[in-house]
Formats: sequence, C-alpha cells, structure tokens
Amino acid sequence: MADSPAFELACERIEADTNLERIETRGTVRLALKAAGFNASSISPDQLAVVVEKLLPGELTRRGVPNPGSVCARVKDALSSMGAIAQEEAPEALFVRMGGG
Amino acid sequence: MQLLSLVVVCAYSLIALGVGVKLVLMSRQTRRGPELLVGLAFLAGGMVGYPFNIAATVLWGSNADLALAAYAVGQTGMAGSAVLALASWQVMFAPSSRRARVFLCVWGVAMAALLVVGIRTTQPDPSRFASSWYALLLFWQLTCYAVLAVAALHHAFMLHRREALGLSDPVVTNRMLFWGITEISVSLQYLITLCSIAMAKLGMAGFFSPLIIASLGVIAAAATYVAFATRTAGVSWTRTELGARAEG
Repeated sequence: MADSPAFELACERIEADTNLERIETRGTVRLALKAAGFNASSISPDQLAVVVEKLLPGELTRRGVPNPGSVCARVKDALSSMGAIAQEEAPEALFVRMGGG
Repeated sequence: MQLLSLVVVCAYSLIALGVGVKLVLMSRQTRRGPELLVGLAFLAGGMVGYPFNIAATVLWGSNADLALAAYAVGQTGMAGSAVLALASWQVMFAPSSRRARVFLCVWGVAMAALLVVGIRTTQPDPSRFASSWYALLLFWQLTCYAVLAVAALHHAFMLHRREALGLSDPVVTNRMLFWGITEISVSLQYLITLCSIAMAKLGMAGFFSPLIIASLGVIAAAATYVAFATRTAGVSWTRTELGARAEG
C-alpha cells in the first residue's frame, strides 16, 4: 500500500533539514507513527502534525539530530500548508458515527 | 445444558436483531456501506442462521422435509452472515486494496460452493459432524471471523495508543475492542467445534463442551451489546474499575 502524501512530505522535509539518509528518515518517522498507533499509508496531515510535535523530537534526538525542535516545527509548518486531502474513511468511522460524532 | 444453549442463542438473536436493525436504519441516513454490511451480517446470522438451524434440529424427528428446508435456510443465513462480515472487513479495513477485493471474491465464491455441497450432503442431525464437507464449511466461516477478530483487535490497540496523543476517543476504542471480542468469541466457537470433529475422526476423545460453546456465546452477545448498543461502550467500567484493580 502506498504511503500517504503527508508522510512523504514530512520525510522529504526531515531529509532536507538533517543529515539523515532517506531510509533512516523514513524509518524514524515510521517508528514515531508506530508508537502513536498510526501507519504511514493512512495518516492525515493533521494527525501527522500532532505526532511530529509530540513524538518525533524524541526520535530525532535519539539519532543525534541537532535542534530537533526546530526541524519538527518546520515539518509541522509544511504539513499545515498541505490543506485538506481527500482520504479513505478510517476503519473506526462507523463507531465514531454511532456516537453521533 | 440444552436449555442454557437455547437461552444463549435467544439472547444473541435478540441482541443481533436490535443491533442489526439499528445499523441498517443508520445506514439509510448516512448512506455508508460499513453500517449496512455489519447490520445485515448481524441480521443474517442472528435472525436467519441460528433460529432456522435450531428449528431444523427440532423438526428433524417429526417432519424431515420441513427440517431440511429450515436447515438450508439456516445454513444459508450463517454463510451469508460470514460473507457480509468479510465484506465489511474489506470496506472498513482495506477499501482500496486490490488483493483484499480479490480475496473477498474468491472467498465468497468458495463459500457459496461449500454451502451448496454442504446442504446437499448433510442433514440437521449430529451425523453432519462426521462429514468432511461440513467441517470445511465451518472452517471457511472460521477464517472470516478470525480475519475480522485480528483486524478489529489490532485496530483497537492502535486506537488505544492514539489516545495518549488525544487523537482517539476512548469510547470509539472500546467499541472497536468489544467488536473484536465478539469476533474472537465466535472464532473460538468454530475452532472448538472443528477441533472436536477432527479429534473424533482420529478416534480421540473430543473436548466439545456445550458449556464452553454457550459461555463463548454469552461473551459474544455481551460484547456485541456493549460495542453497538451502549452509549459509553463500557469506558467508565474498563478505565476506572480495571485501572484501579491494576494499580491496587
């Protein structure tokens, strides 16, 4: 299954702003996503922005990336400029609707 | 024990009726596939499959023709419920996956073929458990519920992780979790029945216990009710009561 545009954009930004290789970057973001309960194929820009803010700095620090906070802030800005993207309905959508949400 | 089993089946059928009607009515408003498929799966299994199979067993001694007709309808209801449940899995968990669509189609065609052969070669009496076709029919249905159980429980686990970031509602997580518990209970019912059939064929003492099957039925009925028919999906109980026990 293809990775989401939000995931691709975040990885491109991190790769451009750090000395991490492409495969390292993608693995780092995937680890953050796994810890947050997401996968790369279906995450939305809004959801990824939260993961980038709360979990990615720790992952980048572990890989010796300097100034992880500012890197993540730039990734968040890039994600916020993506706007809404048409996505498939999430598996939990039925249960959200059942609660009237 | 037969009375207990009957009570459990009646309870499950009533819950399936309520949940099925609720979801089908909801699908008329939302125009969405998942609620329609899950709702119809509950109605096919709970209102057609179980009742007609029981009717067939009861009628078998007095009116064989009617019993066979009820048996055919009952088995079709069970198979139809499994097909609808697997279709709901594809729509919910793998909507754009070509492999999932192919799997669903192949699985559905094989299910229909097994159903036809199963109905023609077996009868609504205990002798059907000696039939390899009947065992295959049960195994095929087991695969559907096992797939759903794994998907629902895995997704509930992911939703639970998202809660820490404020990206999931605990009520939604619990609904998914209890749906997974329903599916795993049904899967275990099929698995225990199949293991007993296999052990009987090998000449070993089976461990088929109506009490275990009935207990799993109670769990399935209760989990279905909590997942689809309650406002909080048991959040207050699972989070406060179990959390306090874990800490204490």
